[in-house]
Amino acid sequence: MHQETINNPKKSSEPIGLRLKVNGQWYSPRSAPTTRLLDFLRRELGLTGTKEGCGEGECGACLVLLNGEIVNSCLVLLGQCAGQEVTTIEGLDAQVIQQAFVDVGAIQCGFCTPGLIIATYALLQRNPRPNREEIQQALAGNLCRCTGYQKVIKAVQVAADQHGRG
Amino acid sequence: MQKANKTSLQYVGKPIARVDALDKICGRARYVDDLTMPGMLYGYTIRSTRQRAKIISIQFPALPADVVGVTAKDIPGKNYVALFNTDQPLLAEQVVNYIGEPIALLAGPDMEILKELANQVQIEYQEIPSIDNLEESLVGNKPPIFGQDNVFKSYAYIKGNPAQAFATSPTVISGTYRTGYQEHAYLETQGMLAFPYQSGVKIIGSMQCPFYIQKGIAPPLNLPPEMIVVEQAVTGGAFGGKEDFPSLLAGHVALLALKTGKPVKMIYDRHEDILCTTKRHPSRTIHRIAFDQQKRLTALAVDIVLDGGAHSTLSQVVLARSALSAPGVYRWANINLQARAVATNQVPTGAFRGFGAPQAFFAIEQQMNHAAYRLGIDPYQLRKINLLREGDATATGQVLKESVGVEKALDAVVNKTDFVQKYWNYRQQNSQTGKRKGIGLAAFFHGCGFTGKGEELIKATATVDYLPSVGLVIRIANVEMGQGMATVLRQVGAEALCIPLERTHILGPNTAEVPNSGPTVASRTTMIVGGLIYQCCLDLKQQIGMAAEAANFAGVAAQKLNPDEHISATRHYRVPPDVVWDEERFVGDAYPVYSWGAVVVEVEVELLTYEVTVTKLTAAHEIGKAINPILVEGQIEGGSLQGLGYASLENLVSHQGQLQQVTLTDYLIPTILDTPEIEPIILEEPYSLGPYGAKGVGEIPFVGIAPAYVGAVENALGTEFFEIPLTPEKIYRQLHTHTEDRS
Amino acid sequence: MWYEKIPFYAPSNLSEALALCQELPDSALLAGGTDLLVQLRDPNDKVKALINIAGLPELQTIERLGNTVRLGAGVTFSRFLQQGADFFPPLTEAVRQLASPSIRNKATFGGNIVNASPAADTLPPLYAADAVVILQSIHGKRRVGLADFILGPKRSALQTGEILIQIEWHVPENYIYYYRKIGTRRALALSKVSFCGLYLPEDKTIRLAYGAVGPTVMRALAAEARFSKGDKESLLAEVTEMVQPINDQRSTADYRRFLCRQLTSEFLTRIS
Ligand SMILES: Cc1cc2nc3c(=O)[nH]c(=O)nc-3n(C[C@H](O)[C@H](O)[C@H](O)COP(=O)(O)OP(=O)(O)OC[C@H]3O[C@@H](n4cnc5c(N)ncnc54)[C@H](O)[C@@H]3O)c2cc1C
Ligand code: FES
Ligand code: FES
Repeated sequence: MHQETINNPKKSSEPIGLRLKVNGQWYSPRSAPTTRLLDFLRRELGLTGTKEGCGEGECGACLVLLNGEIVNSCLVLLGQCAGQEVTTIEGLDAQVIQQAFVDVGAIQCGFCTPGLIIATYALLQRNPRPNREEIQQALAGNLCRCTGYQKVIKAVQVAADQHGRG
Repeated sequence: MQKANKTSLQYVGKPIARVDALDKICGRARYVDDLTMPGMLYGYTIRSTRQRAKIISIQFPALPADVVGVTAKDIPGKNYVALFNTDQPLLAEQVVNYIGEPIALLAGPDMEILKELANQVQIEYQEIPSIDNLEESLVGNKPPIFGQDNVFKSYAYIKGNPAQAFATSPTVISGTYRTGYQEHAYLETQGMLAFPYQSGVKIIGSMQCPFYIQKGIAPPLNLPPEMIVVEQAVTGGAFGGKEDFPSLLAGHVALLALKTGKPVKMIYDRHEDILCTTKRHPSRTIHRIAFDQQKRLTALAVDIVLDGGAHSTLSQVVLARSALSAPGVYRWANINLQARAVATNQVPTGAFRGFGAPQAFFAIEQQMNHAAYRLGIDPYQLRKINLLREGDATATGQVLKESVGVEKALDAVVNKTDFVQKYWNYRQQNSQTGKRKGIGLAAFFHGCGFTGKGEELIKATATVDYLPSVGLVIRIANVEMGQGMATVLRQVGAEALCIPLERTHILGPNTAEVPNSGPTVASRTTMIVGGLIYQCCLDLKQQIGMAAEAANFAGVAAQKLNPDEHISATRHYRVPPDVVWDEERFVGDAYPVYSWGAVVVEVEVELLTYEVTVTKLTAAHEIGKAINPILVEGQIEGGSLQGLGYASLENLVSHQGQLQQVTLTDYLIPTILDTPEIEPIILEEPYSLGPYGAKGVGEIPFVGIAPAYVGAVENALGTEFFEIPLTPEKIYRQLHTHTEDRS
Repeated sequence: MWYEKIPFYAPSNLSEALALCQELPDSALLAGGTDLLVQLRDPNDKVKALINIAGLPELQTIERLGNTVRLGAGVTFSRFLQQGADFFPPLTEAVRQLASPSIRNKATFGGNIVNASPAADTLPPLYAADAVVILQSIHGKRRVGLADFILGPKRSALQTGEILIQIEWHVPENYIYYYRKIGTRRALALSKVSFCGLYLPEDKTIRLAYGAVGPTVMRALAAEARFSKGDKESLLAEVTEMVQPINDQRSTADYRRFLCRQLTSEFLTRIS
């Protein structure tokens, strides 16, 4: 791990004492601001629920919420999160969604699951009653090689119904 | 769908939620990359950049004190990974045979420094003419890679009098069929962690077969197998890709751990994973079938060649499945079959869901689709005329005594989709703009368990313990990799003993703690290992004086056993005495039993661009008994979509030994927007020797998708196709180079 | 990642960013990072610092005044879909089919343009609109036609010290358009071919732009000029002559050329 010390005179424009909120708690990272958010979460905070499936934005296993919006944490740098709020699977309050995934059988190997739950959460925040097409559009950045997605779609529908009732 | 007797069953046949779901849903499940150890180092692999060359020299740069580099010279034992053969080196020593072959390893505390150092390693090569593909391998004008003739394995047999049958049959259909590579694209890349342990080494990682690793790397590490302890971490998908390859990776980390005396972890990034792990075998099949006046099949001549890549790995058993699947689900009196797996200077190919069967079924089912067209009959009728039924004998002479559900499956998908009506309607389409619809059909089987003598050689062993305070503890070497094994086998145990599911446990697979119940492959776990567990449970009942069907096990056990006492039972798998296989002559019972399936794919083809949209996929699978219907549906849905990817879009090609699509940006698998509605239909014809009648389901959903898909495109366009993946590019090429318009 | 050892600058406004840009010629501008951070997976000794311009307030313009649309280079695709979806529908269609929702939350117009990929999906609609880019450095601003700005694959006329700040174009009156992206799958697919055709009924002209069939996105000017002659076949022949598709890991040259013809033909049918 590299401890960042910048020996450039132009310090004023750096995020002095970079801080960010993760799962409700403020942190002053030891990692350099050019650390991928994914690595910071996994290495420094031990939040290993966020997965790396490709490192280039193609799989969605690394999705987290940044100020409530889904981002690929493999393509976001820590320095870009200064003063902002990150939510990972460990900090997500999404029991209804999680229960729906379990009940419907939308999980197999589980490697894609945290990312899918995050994306579902973001979708239902924005659109509590999505139709099939909207669900597919919202989860289009999450690859799953195991399930064939049928039960994922159904789980989101079930979660939406539960939300509606709750 | 369920059998009537389900009322008497409490757990089996119930859609019970997966036992590992909670950890996965919360991000708590620990995959290998989530593990760290104090003082842990990272490992990195230096790979061949040449397709085929002699290694003249390997020169490391000056290495910092905390970095260790190893080459083949540092291997304490013999330089091979043991499987069927010994041709795969742990590290290439004199020659490299494919781009990406491992040559040297580095371990150190900082991954970025390792990568920089790796770039500075100088390897001097001397090129050897390389063998690019299976055609070149067959020509044999270059120095062979394997043996004298480049053939890893071949099977051939003649049954009846095929020459005469072809000569006298009024209709002969022939074609040459090709299938491409397929990458597993499990979401979790391969990874392994090793550390010195007792006087040997312990390995934790992503895998299907802990005992394969132990056996595979004992020779290079020069350790007795027991001193290599192998434990599975939560595994993020495998599909066969983590059957044999992990032995090589485990050998690498173990070597580094022993050399440095520290824990070493190696996690492939996606690029490395696609570049150098095994793939599905590309194939070429030359196929001829003949029909009599009544449209009955009279003869089959088939020549299958699989591209095994640079090392033999599992090719011989993959090939056996290809050969056994080649005749399809039909009756034959006359067969001339030849099957070969050959060596090329390409990344080794290996196990992948279906294991040689998808290539063979693509050929035979496409032949049937083409034959139906030429004979002016619908593909359903043609199959019905020729279908294997109970009491019939397979191509190898195996009499199908029970649990033969292919006709049921075929009827189910055809009725569900109104196949025949649509097939003829779509044949009438002649619009030149807009979209055309198509519908395609395939029928297939998958042999459950190992091919031929495989189960006999493995002698799977399972143990169960019962402790009144804990409940049932199942000890097996089989792994959960997403397929649901842990849930299903606990259901079997809970049912057999009539105890609550929560009172059943499966010990995490660790070679020091569980007997070798065999690898988690070949759709064998539920049927073979589940069967052993069931038997073990009956043994437990007997030990405390209960009848097999008696219910109150926990109560009786509480009376008969002290709270800290435990009882235990062990069973070894025995191939049923009436299952006899002659490997030399390729005659007899190739598998104890088969699962059967049929699938209908419906498509729309846009004539402007030749883009194909799958609108519906209907898949019926007869699997004996669905121990857990939700998990079975999951296998059907996941396997079907993986099959559609294989058939339509997963394009992986090699140019001079260099794979062209080595990222997930270039190697594309279906997204949620690409999935059609998939309708799974579960059919049950119980198998008398399976636990509660169960057979296997892990692979069969994949097996027949490609011909159903291509058949549907043919139905829409009125043109025959012979190659997958059938991309719009290939449709375009076919339609615009030689037009065989038949609409 | 190797770049953990290089410094990271987070200017809080455009003038700070421009000053940094000038001062640190060996730096890279980081907007959404969805191209740059993928490219930087391979160590690159030319990039010695990163300057974060994501979120810079001066790059967030999103407005349509009369027929003129102005988009800040830092506008993300998601924000555009929320706030600018009705500005110019062919562009909206292109953006909707681009990458995935999470990528669109970060990826910017500026990044898509400066990255100068022949397969960049915003470009065919913007080429068809004759868009202009506005570049700024500490020395001032300049306006350059988009087609002149992009020089080749991954090459633009951006000079050291310059930042792309805005994209501007006029939306024609009563136009009819046809946009198609042909990718290998329905999401997360780079284009094999993308096409944007505009028909301007006032002056009875067409504009044709093609992505992924040459070193840059291409306008078929000669073919456009043939439109008034009403000879569809010769126009299509002109298009298939002009495009320079290649065989690559995604598709074949033949099929791409075929698609250019087909999509153009479809467009002509729709406007006739
Ligand atoms: C998984 C995935 C899928 C994708 N799919 C598509 C797709 O379907 N279609 C498509 O077109 N693209 C796609 N892309 C590429 C990418 O998302 C887009 O090109 C995006 O618009 C880039 O914007 P950005 O803000 O992320 O750029 P960055 O990566 O931040 O920057 C890209 C380049 O532009 C420079 N730059 C950025 N902003 C400015 C500025 N204001 N002034 C000067 N220079 C600047 C940077 O220095 C860098 O060189 C995909 C990328 C990924 C990872
Ligand atoms: S790891 Fe970030 S998208 Fe795959
Ligand atoms: S459950 Fe394995 S990738 Fe989705």
